Amino acid sequence: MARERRQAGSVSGCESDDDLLSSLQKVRGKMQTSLEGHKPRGRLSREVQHKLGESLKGMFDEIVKQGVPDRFAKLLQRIDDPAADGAASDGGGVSPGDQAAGVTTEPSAESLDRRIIGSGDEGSN
Amino acid sequence: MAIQPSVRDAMLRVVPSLRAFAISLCGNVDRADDLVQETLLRALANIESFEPGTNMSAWLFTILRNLFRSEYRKRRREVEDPDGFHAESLKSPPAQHSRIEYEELRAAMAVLPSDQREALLLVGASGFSYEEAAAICDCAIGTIKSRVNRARARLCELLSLEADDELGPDRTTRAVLTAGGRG
Repeated sequence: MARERRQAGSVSGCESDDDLLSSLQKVRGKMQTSLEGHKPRGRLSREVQHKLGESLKGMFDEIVKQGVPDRFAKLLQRIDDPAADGAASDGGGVSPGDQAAGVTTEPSAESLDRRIIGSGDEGSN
Repeated sequence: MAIQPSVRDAMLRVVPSLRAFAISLCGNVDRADDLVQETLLRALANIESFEPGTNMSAWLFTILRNLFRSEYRKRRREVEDPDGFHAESLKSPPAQHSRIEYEELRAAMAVLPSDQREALLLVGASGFSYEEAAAICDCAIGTIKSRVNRARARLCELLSLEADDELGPDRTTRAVLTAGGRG
């Protein structure tokens, strides 16, 4: 049984204890589903599947339609052509240091600092 | 760092769906946008490993998915809906529209285990094939298929989609309570 769980973990590329935990959760999830089991699974009608699929796509496409937020357009633009940034910056002046870090100047989430600026991954090359 | 305009344009073209994936995956726009940004930075830093002519979309989705998962391990409690916030919002009987309200769908998606959620989003919304989704998630095609199936079945339960003539709070509540009992 324990071996099975490990396998379930390794299928999804899991390696650590954390992953073992998450595969345990998966196993628990399965057990729950089967406990609900008075109605057979996997026999969703075509109509229901269609409805679900359409809603899912609709929800997704609603976000897709928002296009490319300025933040990402600028990010890619800046890296493509660093000179363009100094000329056309409306974000309050981007220093060369910021450019090197490849980070926007938007004061969005504080987590940005922690996870992106702080990570140093992009600064390493 | 200079990248070819064609590569940059290819990345730009993927951003809208990449972002939709991120938002649907983590259910929070700010976090999702941070995730997209980090994905783009990683991609740029490793642009040599991208082979021109191959699938930029799959490449970026893979990076984002891996970033999300490593973050998710750190923040599992948030993602797993520990207070039953999303589940709670499902406990009122769903509106009896023919169309599923996106709000309900979002709440139900949040209740799914993340591996099922990502599989369903890749195949059912982003338009990847099972093969591509399997490559993105680094697992077998059969695993993706079963995750997608389980995700669909679970969503239908949560949204009381199966038997239109039996719509009612009892079923919904039961499904939600069961779903909420995981943690």
